[in-house]
Amino acid sequence: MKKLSLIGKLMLPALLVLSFNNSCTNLDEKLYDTVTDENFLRTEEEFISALGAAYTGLYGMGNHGGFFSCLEISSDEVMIPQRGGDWGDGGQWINAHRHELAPVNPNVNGAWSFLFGGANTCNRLIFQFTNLKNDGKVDAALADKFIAELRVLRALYYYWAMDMFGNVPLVTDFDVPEGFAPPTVDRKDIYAFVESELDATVPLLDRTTGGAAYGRMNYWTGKAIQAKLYLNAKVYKGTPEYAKCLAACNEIINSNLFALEGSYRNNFITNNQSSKEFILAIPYDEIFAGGHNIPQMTLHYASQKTYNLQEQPWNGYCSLQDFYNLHDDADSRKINFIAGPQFESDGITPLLDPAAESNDPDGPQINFTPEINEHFPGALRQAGVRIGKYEFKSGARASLSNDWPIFRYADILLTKAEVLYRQNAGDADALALVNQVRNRSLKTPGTAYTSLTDQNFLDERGREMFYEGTRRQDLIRFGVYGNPTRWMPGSAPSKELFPIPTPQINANPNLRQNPGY
Amino acid sequence: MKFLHTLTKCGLLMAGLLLLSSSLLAQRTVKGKVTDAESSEGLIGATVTVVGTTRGAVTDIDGNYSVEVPAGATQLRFAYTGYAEEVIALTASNVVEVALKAGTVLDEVVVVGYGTVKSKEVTSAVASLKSGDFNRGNVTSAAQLIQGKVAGVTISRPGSNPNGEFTIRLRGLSSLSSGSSPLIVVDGVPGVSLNLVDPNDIESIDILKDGSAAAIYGTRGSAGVVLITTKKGASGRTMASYNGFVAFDQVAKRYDVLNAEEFVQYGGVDLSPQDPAGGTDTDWFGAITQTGKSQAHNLSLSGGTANGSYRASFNYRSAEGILRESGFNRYNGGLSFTQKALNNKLTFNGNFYLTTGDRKFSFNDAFRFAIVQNPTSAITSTDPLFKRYGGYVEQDLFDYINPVAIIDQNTNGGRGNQLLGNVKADFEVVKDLILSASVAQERSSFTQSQYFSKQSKFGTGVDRNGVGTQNVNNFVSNLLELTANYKINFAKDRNLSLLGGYSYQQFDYNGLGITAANIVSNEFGSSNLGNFISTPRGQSNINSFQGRNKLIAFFGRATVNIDDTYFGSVGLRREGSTRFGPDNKWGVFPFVSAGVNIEKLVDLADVNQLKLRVGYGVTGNQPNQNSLYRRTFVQGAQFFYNGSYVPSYGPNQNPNPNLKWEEKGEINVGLDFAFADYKITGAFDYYNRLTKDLIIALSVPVPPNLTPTTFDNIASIRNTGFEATLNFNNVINKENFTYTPGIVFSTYKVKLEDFGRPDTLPIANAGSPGQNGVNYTIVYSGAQLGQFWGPIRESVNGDGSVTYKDINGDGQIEKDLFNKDQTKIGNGVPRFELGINNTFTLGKFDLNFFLRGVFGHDLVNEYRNFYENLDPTAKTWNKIKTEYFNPNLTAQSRFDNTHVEKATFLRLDNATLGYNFRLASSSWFTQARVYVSGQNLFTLTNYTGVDPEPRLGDSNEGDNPLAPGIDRRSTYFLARTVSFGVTFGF
Repeated sequence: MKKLSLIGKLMLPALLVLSFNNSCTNLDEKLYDTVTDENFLRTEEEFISALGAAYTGLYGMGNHGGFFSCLEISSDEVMIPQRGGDWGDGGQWINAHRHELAPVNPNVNGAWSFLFGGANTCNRLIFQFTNLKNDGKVDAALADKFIAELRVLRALYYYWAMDMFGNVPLVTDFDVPEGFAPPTVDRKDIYAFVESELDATVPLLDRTTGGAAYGRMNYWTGKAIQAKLYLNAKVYKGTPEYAKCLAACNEIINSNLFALEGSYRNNFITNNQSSKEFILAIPYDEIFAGGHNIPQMTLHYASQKTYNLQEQPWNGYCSLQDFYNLHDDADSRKINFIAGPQFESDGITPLLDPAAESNDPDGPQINFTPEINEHFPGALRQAGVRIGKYEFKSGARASLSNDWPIFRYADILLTKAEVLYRQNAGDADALALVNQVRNRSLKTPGTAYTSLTDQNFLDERGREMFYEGTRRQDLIRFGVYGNPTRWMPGSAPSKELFPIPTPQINANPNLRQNPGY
Repeated sequence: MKFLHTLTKCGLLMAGLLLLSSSLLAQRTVKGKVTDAESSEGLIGATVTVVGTTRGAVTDIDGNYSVEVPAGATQLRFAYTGYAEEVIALTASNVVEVALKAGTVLDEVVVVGYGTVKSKEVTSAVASLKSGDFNRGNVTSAAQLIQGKVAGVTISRPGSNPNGEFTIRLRGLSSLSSGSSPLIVVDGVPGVSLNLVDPNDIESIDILKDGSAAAIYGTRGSAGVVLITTKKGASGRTMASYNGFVAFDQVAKRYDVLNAEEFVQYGGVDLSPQDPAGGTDTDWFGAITQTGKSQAHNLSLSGGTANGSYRASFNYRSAEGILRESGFNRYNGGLSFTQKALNNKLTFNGNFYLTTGDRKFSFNDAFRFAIVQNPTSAITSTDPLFKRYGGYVEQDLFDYINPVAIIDQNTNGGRGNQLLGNVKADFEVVKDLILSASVAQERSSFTQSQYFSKQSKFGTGVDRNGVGTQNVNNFVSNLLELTANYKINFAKDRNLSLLGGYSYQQFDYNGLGITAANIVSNEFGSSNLGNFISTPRGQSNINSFQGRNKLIAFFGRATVNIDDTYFGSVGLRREGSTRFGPDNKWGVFPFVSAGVNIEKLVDLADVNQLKLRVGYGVTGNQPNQNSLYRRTFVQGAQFFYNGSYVPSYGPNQNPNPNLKWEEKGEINVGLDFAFADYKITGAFDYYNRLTKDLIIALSVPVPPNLTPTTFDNIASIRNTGFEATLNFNNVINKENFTYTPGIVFSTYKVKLEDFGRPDTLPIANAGSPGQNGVNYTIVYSGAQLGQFWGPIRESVNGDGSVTYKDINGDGQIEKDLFNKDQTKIGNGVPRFELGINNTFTLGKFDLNFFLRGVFGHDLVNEYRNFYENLDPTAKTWNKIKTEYFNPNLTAQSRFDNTHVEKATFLRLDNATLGYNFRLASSSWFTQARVYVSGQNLFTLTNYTGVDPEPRLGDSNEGDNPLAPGIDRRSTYFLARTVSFGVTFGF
């Protein structure tokens, strides 16, 4: 008996524990600051916030190290030379400009993540809004509107992915089995998907522009994607689509909702949101919607004093001498570049780099020279004209408030002109359209084009569309992407596609590397 | 505290000595001889203490002693290393003779989880250090007390930052997340901060090294367990003691840089024209460093009756580092009590520790900028060019800021409190059955404030017209533990102990951070962030967080001792965590161990103990963040909706409902031994541990996933190692002179058996300037941990360029990031570690010196990687000049094998010389000791950086344990410390 009572007493603590109540073994997680599927997506305000994620992904466009950096640096209009100790970075910027990108280049993976993160966010939201609609938890009309909008946005991401990488995985469902590893789909099939998706959904979208529709997918955005898709159709699938391209351009032009701004610069000033040229723009804001970081990316460290910037710039991106020289002084688009001696914000005090390299012929006053003495490693800190396309507000924060056009009316005019020109090199309408764009920026109107050639067409597109992410595409379409330039020794046609990033191939064995990598 | 400071500086020592001559009570002298019970020979150096006092004596060469016994004393205690302690009651006689029996080191109490055992009963790998074994000198952290003293425990703090934390790593690496540090248990309260208790208040530190010992702590035992036991009061006379020291930190090593003449000679821009004084050769490093003065004072009071005891202590510390404006002030109070009731059937224990203090972090960046600063540049100038910088000379360059301005213009400090309270009740229900309940709470809060002045280039102060930040962090943990202990004694030395228990611990944390800019005056600092103009404009950055997690466990253990010959222990812990999904919350962590003392079975000459033990245990590890198994969303940028900006929410984490505990299985084989009448004691251990289901962020395809990584139980790591501890007790024992050396040795290997991906993963980005995308380390499945990866430099050519080796033999030597010509060029993990302790006594003097060596590891010397070549940057940035400096080398700085250096070192970590005053029997004092101590007195190494100490994780990437061995430029420099101290007992 004594033993038994001992055992009984041994059990006491266990019984005590069990008798408390089940809170003693309750391991449910109490959530405070964590947002999960369980506590989110229940009210209209939350639906809108969720939709926002599809758009805010675009804010990555204007900063360093991803999609846009890859597009620009691989073209002949922008480069980052290695300035002594700065910007060597294992050659990642040098290789990008030389068309020697390796699949492990981190910026290529950054671009991939930007594109497919965006596309998959659309997949998720389409899935979630469909479920909410089926469960009757959201107004069906609102859900349908969101879903159509998201499908067009997804088509845009796939258009970009196809343009950059060519052959990519195509995933449109969110609810896939665990471990699903989508295979590579050929470029022409991605093209077909984008085309059919736009055909199906663009007509469902709103035709109003500006105001509440600003910065969102609407009917005209869809048309602009179609115009660009068809313009490059020959590159994507081997056969041109001139008629379809022309139709999309004409619809936009004939809507009379868009027009060229009086001045080119109006499109790039701090408060540019009312530009009549914007078909789709990213509504950047220095406080609410950061990511437009061009002053940091391009300006000299000391330029902070010129613009009273709140953070020191990085002295990286600049344009090339040959590209800069496409602009004569009569072309107001030369303000796309910051060149020559620099001053502090008073405009009088020379901007100094007293520690300037002793081999710099320009001395301590900072002078952005079109000449870049070398690509690497010893480019001078002052070398290269800088990207001045956007207005830098005095006292700007790290992010600018200038909105960022993705599709601009001038591009549509030039697209229409190009389609006409390609069908008939002597087409008068084509010449008129190019001159319409060109004359706006010429201080002496006598220099309008009298005829169109591949070269003068490409040059004109270069001037008008500088640093808007189209140059690489244009060079490929005009067949000159692989031609040697000052710091690019020439490249094989296979380099017109970017490599599939190594981390993606490692994560998904069904992906196929592009030829030539 | 100015008073205390002055006192210690000028005359504390003198004041103490003067007091020694005073007398108080009537007393007598007791004499006698201490002998070995077997041989009847006198024992030299045995200690004799008057129980209830700290008064005592040491036996002479013949074993004779003489001790002054105060009136009222009732007992004498006789102790000798390796022998059973004896306590003899005093009678009227003034002669007490005693014969001591050998063997008691085996009866020393070892703290294990939820209980204690005798040393001889231990069947797992457990190390036990008493206060007498601790490191001395300017010790500010409990970790420092045992640095180098325990085989298999690596304790590292590169540099001498007084606010720096020591990294503790036990037996290699057991997790890839931040759970790689051992669980800290203070007086039975698990999961608390190591800094809660002042080092002066620690009685002993026990370390559960292997799985069979640590598994009683289940989920948190994977990286081992450190059990801290604080000092307690004892029944008897009230005792008081004072410890104090002053210490001086000086720069132990610095980099040589080019002087002004050399800098200009090698093409550097001469900025001396900017300086009206002209002809500058600025010692930038000297301008940011100082001799750090520190002091510590500890007062304690303890006593008790037959039914209860108490101990109270107070500590004050102030410390200054070698970097100007770095240091701290800390106050710490402790109170512990024991009270018995109900005929001693009920015992209450309580421990309370409060720590409060202020820290000054200064800015470690100043070190790096001091190295690269142009030596021809003045520190300050009246040139109007520099007016906007408050007269400090600044240049518009990337990664180049006046380091003196950084320290002078800005502030970076913090203030915090930590509280630990626990109360435990033990009730002996029937004989040998004890039920216990314990509750504990730990609370800590810390507020860090920074201010970057309106003139400071550093921290964008000048750009944003002053920047202020405050960050508040709060943490509370609550613990309830219920245990039952039952001991069955079948016969003498034949018993079974049973333990059962329940544990509930909840952790709550929250915090707030604000950064504001643009203020009228520097005078306000960051004291009121509402005064910054960004605040009313709604442009201050504010963030806050809150979270909670819980651990609940049931555990049991049976321990058996059969005739002091066979020992065993078996048990398990079942533990659950809120950090896993509904189906994976609970894990079971069993353990078993057994030992046999062969000496009891076989008659071996001169062998006192030969215990073979084998243990196996499973421990777990949970992720270091909440909610990793869920799909989570975060607020992203604002979304332009209907003409205004609204918040957007997007996913930031893929779900993984299958996420579960990391599990480590470990087998340990050990041998404990004692030879030659316990003159030689020690232990050997071999272990093999496999941690599987390690949680890593696995790369997954997007789409279909939302984000490019998912947390999954993928990786596995195997650690194997050998440890040896050898103590020679009084190996020399001559007249007035004894020598006791001790050695610890350990070696370990860490292999990443499976890294969950087919390819190699380059990690540890070198960074700016110019080496973004250059990685130091490579990891892949099957790799040894810590492999450096890079090109091999073959030659420096006549034109200053570098030729690299064509490793893949394709005839093409690619010098770029995506280099196929790369190979293994070093290893950041040490091959073995060695600690040699030496204690000498000569009469009243004692000398201890401790040599610590770490062997076979390499370090990436980042200063050399970035600032050695006379490349185009040498026109602007200064360069360092080590033995590797080559003025002909003008190629672009680029990481290669020459920047990986052997970092084997042997260091005189600590040397302490003490003198114990002979005290008159009439003295008020029971002990009086003065000492001088030196830390880091010399280091033998070929490493050219400032500190060859191993880097256990990459400090640039959250102490990433996958990238050890990188000596980053953010490291605080190393100091040499000399301290002067006194100890008085009353």
